[in-house]
Amino acid sequence: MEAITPLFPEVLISGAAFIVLFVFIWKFALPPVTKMLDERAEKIRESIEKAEETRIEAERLLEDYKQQMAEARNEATEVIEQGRRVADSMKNDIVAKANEEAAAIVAKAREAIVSEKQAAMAELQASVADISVSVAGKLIGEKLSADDHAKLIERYVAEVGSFNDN
Amino acid sequence: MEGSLNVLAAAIAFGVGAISPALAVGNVAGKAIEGMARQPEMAGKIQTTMFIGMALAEAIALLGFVLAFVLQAA
Amino acid sequence: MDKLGYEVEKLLHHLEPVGLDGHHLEGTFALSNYTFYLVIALFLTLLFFVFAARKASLVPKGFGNLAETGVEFVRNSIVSDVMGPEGLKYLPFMVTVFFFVLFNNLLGLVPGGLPGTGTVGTTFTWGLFVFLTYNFIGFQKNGIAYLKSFIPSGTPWWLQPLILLLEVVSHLLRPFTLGVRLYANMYAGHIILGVFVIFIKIVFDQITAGGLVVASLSFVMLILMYAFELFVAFIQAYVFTILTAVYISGALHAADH
Repeated sequence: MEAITPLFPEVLISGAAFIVLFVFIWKFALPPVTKMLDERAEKIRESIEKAEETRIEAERLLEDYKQQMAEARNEATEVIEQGRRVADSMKNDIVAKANEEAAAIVAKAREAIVSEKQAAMAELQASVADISVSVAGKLIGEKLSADDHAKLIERYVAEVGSFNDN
Repeated sequence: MEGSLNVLAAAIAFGVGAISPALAVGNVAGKAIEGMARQPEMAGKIQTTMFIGMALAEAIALLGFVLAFVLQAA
Repeated sequence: MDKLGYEVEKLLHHLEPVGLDGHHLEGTFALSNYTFYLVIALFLTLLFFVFAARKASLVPKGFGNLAETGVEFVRNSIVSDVMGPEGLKYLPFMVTVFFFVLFNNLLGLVPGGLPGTGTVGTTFTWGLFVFLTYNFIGFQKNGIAYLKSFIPSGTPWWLQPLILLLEVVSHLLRPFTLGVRLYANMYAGHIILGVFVIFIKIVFDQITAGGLVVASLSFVMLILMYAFELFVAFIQAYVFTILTAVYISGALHAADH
């Protein structure tokens, strides 16, 4: 029994020591420590929140950039496509115009040839008539009346024309 | 001779008194480990409760311990 | 064998609470061999918290971090877990209990030192403090309803006296078991360490072949048991504090059921 009977001086000293320590911790030591712990917890919470916000913002930005990039790429291909189309149509135009011009030149040339030929033919007719009249006049030696003259020419021209037809 | 009988009584009191708390504490620890293995996320709470349960079971052994002192001196 | 008996006797005598002069403790405020170390532990704890309070900085570092970790442990693992948020009001008391018990336990493991908690004079006193504290809180929170909580509602009338008796006895046993548990662990731990030291010491007095085997085994055991006692020092501080938390929590919520 003796071994588990508390000694009174020990009770006093341990009790007093406990109370001293309790008052010290309660009044002086614990408030700054718990305050600091709370502040730290708050700070950590804030930092985590901020990091989360930053992450979301960064993701949003990245998404934006990606979208802009895709848009730019689309635009570029469109521009190229359009350029190609314009170039194509231009080329076609130029070719078509050139063809047209060439055709026009050819047509004009043909026309000119035809008209030249007609002119030459008319001149030939005239000169043939003149020559033949004068040759006939000389051969016959007589003056034909104007009437006879015209008849003769006509007949002659008809003859020449039939030659010509052949 | 009377003194040694007292010592014997004290030894028996503590020895026998320690049997059931020993089983109880072992049981508490075993069940706590089972619980923790089943639900590791609850390990902290289980551990706290385990210590409380152990302490309560241990109280019986402590009574035997005190009784041993009392008997030894009687 | 006589030598062993003599040494063990000496060890037990060494662990008895006596005055600093080695004789019976006299005088009201006289220091015993245990309370001498208890006062040292008090100063160490005070110093510890002075540093902790002065070095409190937002970024954890160095010495301040140690104290903060301890306080945080008491706050989160003991107070919040057991008592819930309303228990935070009693944090200073819990911190005092935990750190004072822990520092005393640890001081006993310093070679030559004794744990202030290795004597019933200390542990019963603190057990009584806990008892008074939780009953005070119970009355303060619940008023007279606290007394009614000793008899759970729904108990048949003929069982009520028996239940009341059991409850009162269990409450009265609480400071007692708190004290004995701590004391027994510290005291028994020291006896075990002491016995292994005695084994080694006897061999050095009179060397024999068998003795050397015993001595080297004892040395290994001494180291292992020292580590175990270190563990026990923490565990017992934890258990003492958590039981205090459980008792206060029970008193806080006495009227709930």
